[in-house]
Amino acid sequence: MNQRTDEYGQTIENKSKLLFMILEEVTKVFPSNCVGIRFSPWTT
Amino acid sequence: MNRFMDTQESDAQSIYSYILKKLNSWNLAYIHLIEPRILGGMEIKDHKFTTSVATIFRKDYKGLIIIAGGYTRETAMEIVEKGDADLVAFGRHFISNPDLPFRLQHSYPLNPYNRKTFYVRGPEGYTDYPFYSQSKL
Repeated sequence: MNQRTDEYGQTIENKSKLLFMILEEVTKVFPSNCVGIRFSPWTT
Repeated sequence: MNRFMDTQESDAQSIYSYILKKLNSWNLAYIHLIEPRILGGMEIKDHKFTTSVATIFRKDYKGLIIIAGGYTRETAMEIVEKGDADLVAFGRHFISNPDLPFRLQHSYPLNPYNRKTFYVRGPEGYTDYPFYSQSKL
């Protein structure tokens, strides 16, 4: 459970920020259509 | 929505909904969603999520969705025909069936998997499951 009080917690935007930061960096190296993401929405 | 208290976001659906909507514009190869019926390698027999996670998030994400978690030949075809997923991934059945696509294609029976040999060393349960033609001999 994300209980952070900094810019990576509290709001939906903040909680998903790290993902998009990573995606931003990864897609600088690999074209986005070569990148996939795996989610387990109900288990983690 | 919380199956295990405090182990997941209470607002998981809104977070993933938000993320997946945003991901539409990223032109990604795929989004791979995992059904909750697998938790830590254990199959959930009585999970309360009767709606596929792919069905729930299809409305948010328009790109390619791979779904995985406890699917059979029948349920896999069903979810793809419904349009809620584009591809279905298999894990455990692939361990015990080296020719899984062939078997699924022809609706042949699958070798049952032995969970006890999933994470051990050596060929047992790793390279010794028979192909369909071999198992018939």
